[in-house]
Amino acid sequence: MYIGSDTSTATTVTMTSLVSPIGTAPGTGPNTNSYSGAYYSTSTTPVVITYNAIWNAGTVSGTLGEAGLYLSINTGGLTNGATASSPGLASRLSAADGSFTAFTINTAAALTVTWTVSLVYA
Amino acid sequence: MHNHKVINMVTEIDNEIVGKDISDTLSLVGIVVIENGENKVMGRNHWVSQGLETIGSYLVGGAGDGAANTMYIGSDTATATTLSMTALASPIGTAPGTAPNSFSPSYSINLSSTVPATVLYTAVWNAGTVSGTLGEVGLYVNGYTGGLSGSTYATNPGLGARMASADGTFTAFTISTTVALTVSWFVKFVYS
Repeated sequence: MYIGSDTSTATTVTMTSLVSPIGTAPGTGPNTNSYSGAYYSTSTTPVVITYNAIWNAGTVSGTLGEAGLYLSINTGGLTNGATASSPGLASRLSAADGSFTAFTINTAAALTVTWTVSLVYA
Repeated sequence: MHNHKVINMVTEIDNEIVGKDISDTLSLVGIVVIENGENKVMGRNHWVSQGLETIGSYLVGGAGDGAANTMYIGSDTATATTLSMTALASPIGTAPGTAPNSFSPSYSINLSSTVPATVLYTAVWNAGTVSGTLGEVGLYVNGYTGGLSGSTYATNPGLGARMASADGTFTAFTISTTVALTVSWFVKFVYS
């Protein structure tokens, strides 16, 4: 996961990276990064995957306007080619989309991003 | 364009249209919570092409990515599909079933569309290779042996989705052994 400061660029489906990453591109990596998955066979939300990223206090600063979930991606797209050497942007949370209000990072506190992806029966 | 849905649709079995099934529709929903001292925000994510294609590539399957996807058919007409199923109820042929003579996954992608990606599986059993009642069809996909926490591909593909007459999604029929049997299975990604 990476974070960025952009607050004006709406997400497009062809984006491959954050617009203004905080730190050298692709961005400053979190100090801890973990994920977990759960399967609930009887639920209408049978699969829940949670990604957790924590940047320690003082490791990132500035405006937080975007966050990116970077996953292991295929270089061949849908043709199922080789896995890329570095993770790529799979999904973005952006203040420019109206998804949240940008804020100035408090460098005295840790920054925690919890990204939950759920498969939900419609 | 927040959610992303995956829709199963099966059409055109044998030379006759026996039914359409848009049974299970799954939404892929991403919710993000950010906490930083007094700051706490929450929002929905937006999927982008690299993510969609990588998720879709699992459905397409292929060499070097574990066992190849395939399809099997069965004769069961009484057993409704359950989430915990791992195989067809009564496969035609020795379990997991008689493999199709040809099987080809293909895909189309149009990122500017509300249906940005479609995967089409086409399975053909030559005339006379299968017989009996056609009551169920299974899409077998490659996958990990450890489920969500797995990292090793299974030796053989496993049941990923099922279309069953017992679910009321189509009417079972007797296979005509003088003509080929063709199953076209569409999986669509749909923005909602």
